[in-house]
Parts: sequence; structure tokens; C-alpha cells
Amino acid sequence: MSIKSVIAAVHSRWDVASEAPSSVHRTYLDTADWRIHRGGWTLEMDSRASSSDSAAKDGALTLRHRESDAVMAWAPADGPPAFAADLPGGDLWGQVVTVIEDRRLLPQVEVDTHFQRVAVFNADDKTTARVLLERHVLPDSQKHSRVLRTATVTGVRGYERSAQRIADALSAAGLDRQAESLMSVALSLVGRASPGAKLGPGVDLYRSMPASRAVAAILGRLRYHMISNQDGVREQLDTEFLHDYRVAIRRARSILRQSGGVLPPNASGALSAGLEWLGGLTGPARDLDVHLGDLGSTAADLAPLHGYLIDRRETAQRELTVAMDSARYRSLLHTWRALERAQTDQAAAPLGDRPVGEVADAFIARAYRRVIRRGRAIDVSTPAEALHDLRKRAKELRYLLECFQTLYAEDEITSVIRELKALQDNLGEFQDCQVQAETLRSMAADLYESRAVPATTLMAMGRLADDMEKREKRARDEFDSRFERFSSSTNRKRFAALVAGGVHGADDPGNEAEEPDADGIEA
Amino acid sequence: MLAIYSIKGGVGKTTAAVNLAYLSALGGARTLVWDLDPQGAATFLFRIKPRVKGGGSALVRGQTPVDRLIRGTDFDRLDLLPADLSYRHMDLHLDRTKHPTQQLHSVLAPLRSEYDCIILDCPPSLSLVSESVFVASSAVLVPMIPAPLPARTLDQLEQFLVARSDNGAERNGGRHPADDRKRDPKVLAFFSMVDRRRQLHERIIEELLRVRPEVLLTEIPASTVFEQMGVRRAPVEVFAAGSRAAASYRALWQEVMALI
Repeated sequence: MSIKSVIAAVHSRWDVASEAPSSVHRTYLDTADWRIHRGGWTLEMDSRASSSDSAAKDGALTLRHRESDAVMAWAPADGPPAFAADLPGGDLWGQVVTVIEDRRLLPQVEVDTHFQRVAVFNADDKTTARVLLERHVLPDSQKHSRVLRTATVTGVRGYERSAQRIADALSAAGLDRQAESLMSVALSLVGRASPGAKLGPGVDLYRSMPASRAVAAILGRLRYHMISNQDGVREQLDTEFLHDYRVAIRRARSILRQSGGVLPPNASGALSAGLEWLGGLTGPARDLDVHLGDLGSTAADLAPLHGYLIDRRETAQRELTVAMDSARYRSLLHTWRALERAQTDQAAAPLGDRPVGEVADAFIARAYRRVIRRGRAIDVSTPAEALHDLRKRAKELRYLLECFQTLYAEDEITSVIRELKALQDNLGEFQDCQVQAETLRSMAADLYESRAVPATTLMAMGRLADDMEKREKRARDEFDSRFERFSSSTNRKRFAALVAGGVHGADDPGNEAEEPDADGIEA
Repeated sequence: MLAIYSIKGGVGKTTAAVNLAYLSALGGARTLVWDLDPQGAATFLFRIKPRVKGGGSALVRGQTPVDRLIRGTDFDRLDLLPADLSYRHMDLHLDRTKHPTQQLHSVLAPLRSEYDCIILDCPPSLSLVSESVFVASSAVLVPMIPAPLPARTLDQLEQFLVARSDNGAERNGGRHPADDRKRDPKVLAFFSMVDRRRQLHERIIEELLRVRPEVLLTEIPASTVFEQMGVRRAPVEVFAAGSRAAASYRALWQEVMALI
């Protein structure tokens, strides 16, 4: 049924005029972790074949308000932007830049839309409404096309009733306004996760759930995180893919290490060994990303260092890619999947059937006590290694809090994580600066031996290393006050309230005999 | 807020209102035309029914919310507040209100944030409606045809503005009425329906420019293109963008924009 006949059925003296049909290929762009979506926007790259020259594209980049679909910013564009630097200037785009940071904008889903604008006239030949007819061709998970037809009626001011009658008639003819965002329809057709889905390590848990099932669910989520970053690591889309990939590995290792007694030890031991191997391979590449990031836009003196780092980053990437293509990697993923499905065995995993609420309380309480005890042992004369060790313990606590977060009240767990993060930031700064200063000095020695760089580069590297050492010292000086705050009675009460079950429980299933530290958490 | 005004009729007032409003909207400004002339020529040109629910009386008394009466034209960003036959009694309607000269200003007040440019197409006369229009407007654009004694039109208008100002000051003990605007609208006159081939037009324009050098530089030529507006029911820019007539309005709009 043509639009003309639909309109004629509403009012015999109304007429329509259609503009020439047109089509557009639309790519919805977002970062791998949906930062545009979470910022409340959608970002679309439209390209259409120009009528005069089919090879030439006239494209546009449109930023929309996600809820209302209103256009917030628009700019002509030759092709899709990859990074923040490729976005247009202006305040609003500036906000997008702040949100996406260093992440790459990736095509999330693509839609072909054929559209035609139609004006509806009344008996006086006055335009009373405008109709946008659209035919969207969407891909689905089987790589077939699905067609969605929509009509959007816009009333001219003062003629809203006519517009409503037209919209009703079109709706009766099966043409409705697009209700849901086209991007979400397209994503659901291709079977992609909704951008609104939680991205954190927390899975939906309940306190009475058997601990083995809960830990398996957490491991499943972490495996999903690792795999969803895999292609980005391989293709080096941006540095955050490797970072997130590593975080998933580290979280999984930490959970395996700390949840002794929940899963069968043989299987979890095999996975731990595999993850240690993989984690080790990702380390050099990540360290080099951090160095390159810190170097930023290079001063001329440091250009040779930049080149040297790039070369080493390429080598590290090759090694990592070889590992990811290896049988050992495939076997690691297989072991991981198998562990998630492993049956609990009371003898091998005595805590497997215990309620996860109780078990998680105990794990967190234990990890917290460790942090407190090791932190208290640090004074001005303590060697740096003790602080590095404390950093590891703090990370373990953080991973536990994050992985089991859905067992706790959101505001309570958030405030506890915030306090812990303040301590971690200090420990991180201290260790990172120390490692970077050492690495810079050792790289300077390498470069000096190769005699390939001018003295000015070596001097600039020396200055960088000095800066790092100054930052390291500042972090070390700040440690006492940071730790004092973390171990304050207010914070101890916070932790105590959070894991009340773990402290007061009749038996503490995961408590290690070597660390019967009772004063870490106030009762 | 711009009023297109002339004491005389048939000088191209509505033609100016419609064409300038279209150029304003085309330039990106949200534009409203209020067709105050009961003949409703601007309303006709935009293919809108000359009818205002409740009539002019209810509108000036604030009984009908003005935004409900606005109609969208066929052009983006360009809306119209239509004419109504009852506007012929607008003087009476205004006179019955407490602050007659302030009334149009008050009616339009809620629309000032919605529109970047409001153009009033006024009926030809010197009356309470005109006075109300002058209070509401920041500039009055006066089309003049090169007929004998054209300067009289401008003189009359200026005398009227001066008298209005004096009366107001007297009524308020030497001060301007508190609710009136502090200054009078800027008067911008331009020649309309000019045929430079006619010696009479040439002579009149030259004479007037000698005594009134402030008259705008742009002249609107006499052209059959303007006559076609009634048939096409659209601004000249829409159907004859390449014509001299359309170019003259583009130039006039630029000149006016630079002055207001």
C-alpha cells in the first residue's frame, strides 16, 4: 500500500509530494567498553554514495542524545574516527574526548537505511505534516538481512491533529515510529550483548548459593572478559584491550589462589599454572605501553628512546601473538571451561557446598587482616619489597571485593573499595616509579652500549629517571598518612560491618592457621 | 522585533514582511511573522487560514494563549501568527485594556525566548495599533514608493513618534512611562517598487536622498516576480532565487541585519 493511498483514505482532498529516495550506510561507533553509550550518547558515522560520483562519499558524524535521539552535534567526516584526536573540535566533542580517553572507536553494528521524505498537503496545498519513511536493512546473527520499515510523522505547528490522524493511519497500515533505538535492535539481531550490561567482574550472586557455583560463575565472567578483549590485543586496537585482558587474568589467578577449598585443587592448580604463563607473557607488552604512554608526545632528545620502545613493543607483541595462537593457549581455555563445570567433591573441595555469603565474608576478612598486619609492619626503614608485597595483598583484597560485590549492599562495598583504592594508588605510584626509573637506567645502559644514540638522549633519560625517583620518594613519604587513614577505626568499622558474618561466624572456613590475626577488624 | 510599517497601503509592506522573514529563517533564525493586517495577505501567502480562535479581542486581553494560535509555515524555522478579520477592530480591543500601548508587547513577551526574530506586518494607518507596534519593536522598516512628496510619509511618522514620546513624558511628570520602552524604535526607510527607467522615480529618489541621507541603500525594484508571489504563494527566494527581485531582498536583509 502506497503512502498516497493511506493518506487518501484519511482525507480524500489531501495530497502528498515525495522527495527523491535516498540511502545511507550507518555505522554505530563505540569503544569496546561502551563509553559513548555510558556517556548517554550514540555516535553514528553516516556515509552515502553521492549522486554525481558513486565513488565519492559524503559522510557525516552525528552525536545523539541516547534517550531522546536528538542530534547534539554534527560534523562532516570523510571516514569513521578511530581515536579522540580524530573527533571534531568544540565543547560537546570535547566531552566525548574526555570520556573515551585513549580507547579506540570501533564499529559496533552497521545498518543500511533507505529513506524518503514525504510532505502531506491539505486542501489549500498547505503542508500540514512531514513523513519520513525508512527501510532499515539490519544484519542478523546468521549473516542474513532483516528488514524493518518505519514511518515517523512530524506535525507542522498548529496542525498536530492532522499529523496524529496520519500517524494513526500509517500505524494501521503497519508502519510505526521506531520505538526502540535502531542500534539496540541491530545489536539484539546480531546477538551482541546489550551495551547496558554490567562490565565489572561482579556476577549476580546470592548469599545462600553454594560457593563452588558462585566461584565458577565469577571465573566464567572473567573468562568472558578475557576472550572479549582477545581480538583487540591481537590487533592492537588500543592499549586498553591488553590492560583489560591482563586484569581478567590477574583477577582469575587471584580468585583461584584465595578460594582454596572451594574448587577441586588439581583442576584449579592446572588453570593457575596456565594463567601464570599467560600473565607473564602479557607483562612486557603492558610495561612498554605504560612507558610509551608516559613518554607522550616525544621531545626530540627522546626520539631514539621512543623508537627503541616501539621496537621492543613489537617484539613483545609477536611473542604474545605466538602464545595466543599456540595449542597451550587453547588448552588453557579448555581447562578453564572445564573447571567452571567441575562437580563439587566434598573430599577435594570441602568449602564447595558452603553458602558463598559466609565463605566470601571469611575470604575478605582474611585478606583485609593481611593488608592491615603487613601495613603496620612497615616503618621508615622497611625495604621497598615490603611495600611491593603490601601492594599485592591490597590487590588481592580489591579483587575479592569486586568479584563478590553483588553479595553486599552497594553503598557499603563502594565506600570500602574507595578507601582501599586510595591506598592502592599510593602503593602503585611508589612501585611504578621505582620500576620505571630502574628500567630507564637499564635501557640507557643498553642504548649506550649499542652506541646508536646521542649523549643528549642518554642525559634526557637520566633526567626522566630522576623525575621518577622524586615521585617514588614523594609516594613513600605519603605512605604513612595513607595507611593511617586506611587502617583508621572508621574504616575498620566499615570493613567489620561489611563482613560481619566472616568475623563473627562460628568457624572461619578459609582462615589460615599461620595468620590468626584477630585485631585487624574491630568486632 | 521588527515592524514593517507604512502609513500608506500598497507600498509592498507584506511583500517585504514575507520575503525578509523567509530570509531570516533561511539564515538559521527561528522566525515568527505576526500578520496584524486584517486583510491577511501574509497569511494567504503562507497558505494558512486567516482565523484566530477567540478573535483579536481575546488575544490582546491575554485570554487565548498566543502559542496555541501559531501555525507552522511550509518552511523550516518560520512560523506565523495568522490574521483574523476581527483585527479591523484592534484599536477598540486595545483601548479597552489597562495599558493599551503596552498590550502587543505583553502578548509577544512569552515568545521572545522561542524566536530569534519576530516580524510584525502592520496594517496601514496611524492609530493605537501602530503605537502599540512601535512600543513592541526595536526597529520599524518603512517601505516607500517613489511617488511625489515621499518625504511626507517619513515626516508624519517621526512627528507621531515625537508626539507619542512627549505625551508619555507629560503623563509621567516629565519621565517616560515606566512600562514603555525607554527609547523609540529605530526607523529604517527604503525605496520599494522602484523603476529606475522612469525619470520621475529617479528624480524623487535623488531629491529625497539629499534631505534624508539615512534612507537605506538597497532599493526593491518593481518586478513581475513579486506579482507571481500571489499565484505561487511563496517568497521569491523559493521560486525565483536567481531573479533581481530576490537578490534585492537578500541585499536589503543584509543591510537591515547590520543596522539592528
